[in-house]
This record gives sequence, structure tokens and C-alpha cells, in this order.
Amino acid sequence: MRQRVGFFLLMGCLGAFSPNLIAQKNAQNLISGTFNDLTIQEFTEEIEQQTDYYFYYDVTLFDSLRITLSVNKEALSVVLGQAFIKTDYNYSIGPHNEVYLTRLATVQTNLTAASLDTLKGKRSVYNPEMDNGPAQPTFVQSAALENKLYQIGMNTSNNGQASALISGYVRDAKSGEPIAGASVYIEKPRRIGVSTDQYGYFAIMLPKGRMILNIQSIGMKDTRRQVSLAGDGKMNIDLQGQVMMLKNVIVSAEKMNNIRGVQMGVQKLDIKALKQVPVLFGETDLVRVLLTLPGVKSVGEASTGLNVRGGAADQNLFLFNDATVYNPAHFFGFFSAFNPDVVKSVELYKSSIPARYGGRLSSVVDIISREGNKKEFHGSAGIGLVTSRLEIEGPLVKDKTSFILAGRTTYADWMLNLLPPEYKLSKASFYDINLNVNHQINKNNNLFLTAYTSKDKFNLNSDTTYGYGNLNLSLKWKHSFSDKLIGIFTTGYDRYDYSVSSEANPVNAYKLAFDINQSYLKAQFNYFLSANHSLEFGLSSLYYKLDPGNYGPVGKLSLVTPDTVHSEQALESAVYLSDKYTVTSKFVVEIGLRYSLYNYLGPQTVNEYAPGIPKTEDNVVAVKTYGAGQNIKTYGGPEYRLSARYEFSDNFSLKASYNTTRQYIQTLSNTATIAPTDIWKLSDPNILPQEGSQFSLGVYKNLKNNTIETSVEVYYKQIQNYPDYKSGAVIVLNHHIETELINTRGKAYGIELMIKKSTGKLNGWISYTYSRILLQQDDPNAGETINGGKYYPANYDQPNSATMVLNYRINHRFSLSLNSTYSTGRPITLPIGVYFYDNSYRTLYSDRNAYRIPDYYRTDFSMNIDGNHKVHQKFHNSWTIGVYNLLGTRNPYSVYYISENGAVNGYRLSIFGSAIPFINYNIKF
Amino acid sequence: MKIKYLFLIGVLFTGCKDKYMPNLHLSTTGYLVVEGFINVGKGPTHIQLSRSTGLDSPYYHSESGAQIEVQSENGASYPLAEQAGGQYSIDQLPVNSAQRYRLHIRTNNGKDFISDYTEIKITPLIDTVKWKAESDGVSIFVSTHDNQNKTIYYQWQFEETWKYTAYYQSNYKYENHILSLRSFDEFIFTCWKTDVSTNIAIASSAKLKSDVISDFPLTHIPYYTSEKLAQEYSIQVKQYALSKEWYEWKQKVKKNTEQLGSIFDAQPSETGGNIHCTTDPNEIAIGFIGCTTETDKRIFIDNSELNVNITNKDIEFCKLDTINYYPPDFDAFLYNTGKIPVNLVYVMGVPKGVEISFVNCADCRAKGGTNIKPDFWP
Repeated sequence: MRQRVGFFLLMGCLGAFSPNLIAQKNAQNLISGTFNDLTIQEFTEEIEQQTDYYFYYDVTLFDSLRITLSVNKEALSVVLGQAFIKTDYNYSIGPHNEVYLTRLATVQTNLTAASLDTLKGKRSVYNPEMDNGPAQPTFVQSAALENKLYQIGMNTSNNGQASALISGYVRDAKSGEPIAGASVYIEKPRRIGVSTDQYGYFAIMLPKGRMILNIQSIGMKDTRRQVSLAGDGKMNIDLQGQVMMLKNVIVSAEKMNNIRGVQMGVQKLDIKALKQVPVLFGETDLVRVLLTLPGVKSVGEASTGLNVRGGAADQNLFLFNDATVYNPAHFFGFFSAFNPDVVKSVELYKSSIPARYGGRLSSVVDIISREGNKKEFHGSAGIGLVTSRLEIEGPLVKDKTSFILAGRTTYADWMLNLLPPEYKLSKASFYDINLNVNHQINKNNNLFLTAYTSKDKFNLNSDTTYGYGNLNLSLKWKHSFSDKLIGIFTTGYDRYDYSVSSEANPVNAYKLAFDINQSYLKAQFNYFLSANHSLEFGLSSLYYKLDPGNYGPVGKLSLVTPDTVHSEQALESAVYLSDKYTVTSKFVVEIGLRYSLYNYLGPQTVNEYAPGIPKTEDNVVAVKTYGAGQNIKTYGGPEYRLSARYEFSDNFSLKASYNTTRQYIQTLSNTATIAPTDIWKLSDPNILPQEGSQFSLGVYKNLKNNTIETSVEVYYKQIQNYPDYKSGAVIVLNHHIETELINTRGKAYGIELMIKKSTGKLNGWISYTYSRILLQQDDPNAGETINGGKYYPANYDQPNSATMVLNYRINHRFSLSLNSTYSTGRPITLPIGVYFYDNSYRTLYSDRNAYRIPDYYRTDFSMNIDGNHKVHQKFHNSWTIGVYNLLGTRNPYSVYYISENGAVNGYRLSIFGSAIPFINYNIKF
Repeated sequence: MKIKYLFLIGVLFTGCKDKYMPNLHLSTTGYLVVEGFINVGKGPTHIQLSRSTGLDSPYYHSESGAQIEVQSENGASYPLAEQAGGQYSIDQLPVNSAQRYRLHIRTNNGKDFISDYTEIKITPLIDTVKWKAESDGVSIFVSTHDNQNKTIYYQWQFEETWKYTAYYQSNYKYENHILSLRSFDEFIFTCWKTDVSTNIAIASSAKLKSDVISDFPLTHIPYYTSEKLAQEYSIQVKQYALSKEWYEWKQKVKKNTEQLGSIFDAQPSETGGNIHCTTDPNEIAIGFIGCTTETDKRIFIDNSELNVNITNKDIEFCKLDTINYYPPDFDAFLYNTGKIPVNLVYVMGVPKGVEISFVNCADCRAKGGTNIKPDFWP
């Protein structure tokens, strides 16, 4: 072994020895051959044998370099240029054929200028720690180079473990924003992979030794890193944006994730996928896109209430950066509450819900917002027919602190002309504002602040004004205790309120107000125990305070008596632990246990009813009064979250899951949709919490090199204590609401088929779902049975449904999208007869939901036209043009009978009676 | 501005409500329907019995042959006499205000129905019935109050009567092949027509500090799509105090039958009431029988009080034909032709022709009114 120690020090600033200037032509010294994975010693020896060059270098600096090259009669400068391409190694050739190999990033810019233009900015920031190399495993490598071999962990730190942990962040090289859901995996010696969390963080336990780490994410260039893993260590990876974004329109972040993920029934959509689906008025709407997924339905056009696998609309937990959004809809549900400029991605969990989530029965919709560009100021704006948006983002402290601020407003009273004539004189408006700030204190500590507020105001052709608003604030601190243990601590406050007021008649002028307030604390820990065990555990506590109704006079002339339904308090706490246990590389289970505990707290007055007979006002046997903070009733119990995956091959897997969930807060509404005036009610001694359990099984098969994903999932679900209503229930300002409710039990089952093609010019998905949701109330002690105690379909039971979403990219600037939806009409209660009373024929109702409205069918079409793709221009603009309900189908929203002028008439109400064109102009700067 | 242009695109489309009668295979229900109230004040008690019918073929299926009596808690009973069309009446119940009352019905198929005893409500007087001219019509409002704060739940029904005229005044009649001058009683130029309210009008003061109903909107009469306001109009408002349960039942019926079709509809529910079959618990009866009294108030609105001139729409198709005054031809022109004589045409004192017109144009009764002036009409 020759050692040429020391010489490189002289070459420390040999910027002038640029190899291009030397460009020595020496016919006798041409090099040929195929070099495969050679170390620097092997490589230089080979060249020295072929030529009379002699090499000087520090071998320790090159220990991570491996050279793979094939040349035929090339000059040394060419050969070395190729060998060192995309590395920070440098060379210079002296007059006597002495060659100096150095590693100095600062003098390399002109070498890589042509090929790595985009890296220039980053590489000018030289990290002196880098030269300390593998000797210091604690520093974070900014691993930007594909050909370089990154040494992670100390060679000497052989602690006997066969594997070690690599952790770090995946970020966008341009904006510094973390990339969530990026796949980080190795293919050899066996496939091991993880995906980054919402902070872009990953931690992967890999066998020690050399390997190629692949990193993939949507809209980013796929990249890989050569890693030599000796011990635990950190590595941050910056991904280059794909300038031609359309090339890689992938719907799901991770190729093959459907096969490999342990969880089933998870759908992840990122904003680019969301933006492609044509929606009403061209405004990207994540709730609308969720509705195109199998198992997700809504009762009609004027509703963003989701029914996930037979769940009611209030059984979905909408989380926006950990804040609960109680009313995720604007404007009668035509828009969802989430501004597309701020949304990064959305994940829907419909069968295996991770143990960290709780409190709702059916699903979790976890919406993650963007963090804002950490390097420069940017913004975007959009003008549509109904709304306008403005968004600004940028660094507050470069590379450390960034913000994103966005707002939306509407100018759309005209749109109400689209509604049936009864609503022609209506007025409606809304706005929402988002602010996110994130700050990196140091490499182990990050702070995230999220603020969201929205307001809606409308009246439906009457003098009654409705208004509602969401307010959410959350502060999150992410702390890395070690490479293996990460903690996330969140605190926040959520509020939802609504009010109804009417001032037309001064004597009756009133205002009715309602609100929910909740404050919470959550601690979540991720612990990478070993290559086979990845733990997640935590605890949370949520304090509710509800004002269920506050009715009072408006103006001096009003005779309205103030009436307030006593406010309600409760504490919902939970602890959870889950272990993702990799039994073998093929068989992975995730075992989660959550224990939730619910305390209904005073001050409160609670009616006690005689047991075994219907709860009515007459049957109150005692009225108990509790003082502030007194525990009135405790509910609680374990919730099991189990899932397992067995992978038969790289593209075929089987998964199963079993889940139980509990819900302590529910909406009280006897309308089929989420109405803006729905009241939320906490479980109390008379209203039991809802409980659900679901078993599901899925088969996943990918075809054609993982470009086509297919899946079949079946599920069976049971729901206990789902509140339904007695006939003619009065819900608003009811001081003994329990007398109007009856507990029903539900069963839901279904099969969901999906084919998804996520790459190529033509991409999209087709899904079909068969599902039922049936309810039963057969306890005669409850006061009345429904439909004679037989099972009856819930309002949102739509057995057959199919969706097709197709995108076709004609070129990089122009793409077409088509979206088709079919579903069975929802059940309704139709009259069984007619009687004459109060001078009019009137309809007579009997069995609930015995009929169905006609089937629903709709096709939407849109075109996305991008301005040019020049990277350096200041403004990028794009147009979205399309037609909602292309075929002009008059889809019935409801069918009803009404007595008019003494006679009974039947009607079919459609929200939209024709095709609705839309156009949106977006600009980015 | 681009935005303006975009707006134009948006206004091309509308939502819609279509008439829709799905083909439902329904059996006729035939439930007993009991309507009316036990009049605990001055005046008769009328109970109307009918049966529910199929949705596809609604008709008034009156129930005859039943025996109905009002029973008091102390065991007294007062039978109602059957009238035509399923109505059963008693002119005046001897009411003891310390008692509660209920209805007992035995239908002609031998089934017994009993209503629940309900509290006695005494209806306060109506304070005002006001009208207000609006841009497209006249709205009628009712106000009332109860100083004792005991009434709280109210229902109103109303009868509208309006005077109207035919387009032509027919001075002659053609009867038994004879053309003759009409007598005063036989004039068919001016008629009065009466409509009853078909919607359930209820209100409650439960949420107010005092038992006051202020300007509750009862009805709206459009100027141009009805002829009610063309001459003189009258409305008689009848007020009833309801018990809480009665009010809630009426509200349920109203929700089920009049207030559907919005985007946020409540579920329609079973109707029922407070009448139960004692012989067959599965037999359903519809209706709520309560004990109350009736108060009323009538107002008049003359067209001259309104600042609108309502033209008779008959002008569009009514015209006069003149036939020769030749009695042998009269049958051909006036018998079963849908036309009647209006006036004679005299030439130098001699009848030379007869002006004739359509019944609709010359006989006000053709539109459903009566040419007999109601008693209350001034």
C-alpha cells in the first residue's frame, strides 16, 4: 500500500489548476478499460499501469469513493472527470505527469457547472464538518451526491449489532420545505423501506454494510445515495424538484406502498393529485377528491359530510395539523374548509386507524399543511368564478424560520341563482385565513405554529341569518431525544360556533348561538427500538366545553325570553402504544392499544330516569345537581388497533386489520346531511358513547412493474349506541335532549375494488364499491321502535357506487381530466298514503327509508393549461377550464311530497340542473 | 375586467325542482282520520271522520255510520248526530270547566277509538288582523295576547271571501226556450267566492317573556295572479288556543307535509296523534282531539284602498257575438253551446239582435262563486 500522505495539503487552494485549462493531450497516455466498483487504490494502480502518470492523494479521503467507468482511449482528464463527476473530488495534473487528487468542494464549481447547475446555490455553502468525514458520526451529512459513498456511523463502533439506524430529513432543495411521504428504501440485500413523516423525517434500521438507498417522492426526481453503514447516524437528503412536474403525476406518494404498508384502507393524496381532479367551480377541494375514493360517499351535492364505510358524517375526525375542524364545509358544502394553497397532503384512514388517533368511529382525515419556503419569498393567487385566493410564504430567518399566510374569500351571491327558486333571494359569503409558522431551533428541536380561522354567513331566502365559524390554534414542538427517540408535543385550542338570528319582526327578534371549545395537550413518541420493532406511544388529554344553545333577544322591543341550555364539560384522555413488528421481511404486524377515558364533568344538572321505561319528561325520578369540576360519569375502555401484512412477493400482499373505536361527542341532527346548524352533544349519563368495531381484509397486487395497482378490500363493521331520533324530535334548545334520542345499533359491510395507474401519460383510478349500512332499534323500552324493530337502511346507504378519475397528459403544458361518478340513490321515506286534515290533503308516512331516490350519475371534465415552464421567470401562470356535470344530468338530491293549496304534489329536487362551466386563473410568483 | 366576463358564464345554468311522481306500489292504508275539536265554549262541536287513501288516487273517503260521543271524566257523555259527508255534530256541549273531556268513536265495523283527555284551553280574543300592501300583493297578519300568560300555543284558520264580477253583465236569461229579463235575484254579474286556509298556521309564545303574538304572517295575496283583490276582499280569521301536545302534533304534521324540499330536510315521521283504538292496538288512527274555544275577527279590504288597478283577465278572450233576434234560432245559439244572452240590441225601439257571450264571461258563478251576497257582507 502506497501512502502519499501530506501532499494534498499543498493543493488546498489550487483553484487555478483547473483541469479544463490544462487539457493535456498526450497520445501515449490514453486510457482504456472497464472499471467496476474500484477503490481509489485499485483505480489509480490501473491507470498507472496503462500510463506514466503518478498519483498523489490521501487515501483516507477517498475511502468512500467507488468508481465504475468504461472508457476507450480517453485522456486522463476525461477519465478523471467522469470518475469524479458529481463528487467533490478534484484533480490537477502537473507538468511531469504527477496527478494530485484532492477533495475540496470549494474549487469544484466549474467542474460540475454544466451538469449540476441547480446544485450551485447549495454547494456554495460549504460545511466544514463534512471534511471531518466518518470520524464524527454525530454531524448531519447533507448528502447531495449520488455517486459519492456516504459513510454513516463509526467504523470502529462495532457494538455487535448487525444493523444500524439512519435518520434524517428529506427536504426540497429549492424551498427547504420538508417532503412528507417520501419513500426511503433499499432493494438489496432485501427490501427495507420507510416513508418520511409530515416533517420530512425518516428513521430506517438497515443492515450494516454498503447499500444503495433510494429516495422517491412525487414531483421530485428519484434519487439514490450510496451508503456505507457502520453505525447509527444522520443523513439529510435534499431532493430536486422535477421541473417538468407533469412527467410524474403520481397519485399516491409511494410506489408499491399499497403492497408494503401494514395499514390498510389508507389513502394518501398530495396536493398535486388533488389539483387534477375536476371539481365544482374549479377550486381544488380535497373533500371532493376524497369522495372519489372507494368507500367514501356523501348524501348529495350540497354536502361535504363524508360517509366512510357506512359511518355517519359526524364519525369522521378532520384534523388540520392536529387541530379538530368541526365543520369542514363552506357555503352549503360546495367548498371544503381547506385552502388548497396551504394543503400539502391529506391522508384518509378508513379501516386500520393508527392508535394515535381516537375519538371518532369511522375515519380520520389527516390534513397536513405546507410549511412555507425557507429560502425565498413566494406567493400565489387564484381567481375563480366564486372565490379568490392569495397566498404568501417565505423565510423569516433564512433556512430556520418560515411562514405561510393564505386567505380566501367569496363574492358569490350570484351562485345562489343556481339553486332552486326557493333560494333565489339568498345571500352567502365566507372567508378563511391560514397562518403557519415553523421554526427550527436547532437540529433537534422544531416548533410549528398553526392558526386557522373561517367564517360563513348566509340566509336562505328568509330574514333568518345563519353564521358559523371555525377557529384553530396549535403549537407543536418536535424534539429528537436521540436518533431513535422522537417526541412531538402539541397543545392547542379549537373552537366551532354557529348562530342563527332574525330581526325582521322586532317583537320576536332573537339570536341563537352555540359553540364548542376544546383545548388539548398531546405527547407522541416514536421509538425505533430495533430493526424489527418500531414503537409509537403517547398520551393525550382533551377538555371540552360546549354551550349547547344560548337564545336571547335582539333589540329593545324584543320580548324574547333568554333561554340557555346549560353548558357541558368533559375531559377525554387517552394513552396508547403501538408496535410495528417486522416478524420477517414478508410478515409485518402492527399491534396497537389505545385506552380512552372520558369524564363528564360538572357543573351540571342531570335528569335521572326510571330504568326500563322510555325516557320521557314524565319518567324523571330525580334531578341531580353537580358542582364545578365534579365527575358525573366516567366512560372508557380499550381500543384495539391491529393490522398485519403478509407479502407473498414484491407485488402481491395480503393484509388484515381489526379495529375498535369509541366516540364521546356526536352531532344531533335529524337531517340527512351535515347542516350548518347541527348541534354537537357530549355523551352524558343518559347518552352512551358510541362504540364501533371493524374487521377488514385486503388483497393487493401490482402489475406492470408496479405502475398499476389493484386492490380488493372487504370489511364488516358494527356500531353500538348510534343516536337516532324519535319521530318529530325537537333538538334545538332542548333541555332534556335524551328524551328525543333512541340508541340504535348498526352493521355495515362492503367490498371495495380499485385499479390505479399512477404513472404515464394516462393515469388515474377506477373504483367500485358495494356496501350497506343498516340500523336497528328494537328496544321497546326506548319508547318506540323504528320500522317495527327490523333493520333499516341508514340515510346514506348507497349499495353500489363506482368512480373513475382519468388524467391524460397531452404535453407538458396541457392535460385533460375526466371524472365520473355513479351511485345508487340514497334511501328516503316516502308517503304510504294520503289523508285530509286542516283543509288539505296530507301525506302519511310509515316505515323509515323504505324507498330510494333515483340513481346518481355525474361526469366532470377539466383542462389544465400551464404557462411556459421556464424555471427562472418571475411568474408562472396556469388556467383551469372545465365543466362540472358535463352531461347536465338532473341528479335528484331529494324526492319529497308536499301539500300545496290543498293537494299533494311530488317533487324531485336537484341541486344542479345543468352543466356548469368553470374557469380559474392561477398565478405563482 | 376579466371577472365580469367570467360572471357571464356562470349565469347560464340553474338548479331545479321537477314534478315527480314515482310509481310506488302502495296498498291503500284506510286509517281512520279524526278531525275537529271539542268546543268547550259557545257554539257547535263538529267532528269529521274520514279514511286515508292511496297516494296515487287521493280522494275524500268519508266515514259514515259511526257513533261518536264526547265523554267527560265524571262519566257524562254527549252523543253527536251524524250529518252528511262524515260529519258528526252537537249544537252546544254543556261544559263544566272543572272537567276534562275526550272523544269516543265506534266505527261501523265495530272498532272503538278513544282520544286522550286533554286540558281545556280558552282562546283569547284576536287583537288585530292587519294587512299590509307590498310590492307584489297584500300580506295579512294577526296579533293576539293573553294577559294571564296561559295560552302560549295558537292556531289560526281563515276564510277568505271576495267579491268579483263577470266581464259582461247579463240582463237576460234563456230558459225553457224563452228569453226573458232577469229578476234582481237572478243577476249573475256580481259574485262572492270563499276559500279556506289550506296551510297549518301555528305559533307559540313559549320563548317570549309574555304571551304575545305579534304580527304573525297568515297569508299573502298576490295582486296579479288572483282576482281576490280586484273589487272587495274580506278575511275572517279564527283563532284557537292549543295545548302543548296538540301544538307539537300540528307542528309535526306541518313539517311532514308542508315544510319538505329544502336542502336540510328533517326526516318525515309517523303521524299518529292522541286517538287510540281500544279494540285493536295495531289499528292506527290519525288526528288529535283537544278541547278549546274559537274566537274570530273579520276585516275587509276594498280595492280603492290599494294603489293598484287589477284588470280583469277575461278581457283577453271575452267578446260579444250578436245574433239576430229571431227566436227560432235561439236554441241553436244558446242551448248547450256554453253561451248565454247578455243584452238585446234595439233598433228604433225594436229588438233586432241578441248579444251573447261565453258563460265564463257573463256568469260570475262559472268561476265557482255564488251570486248570493253573504250575510256578513256590508
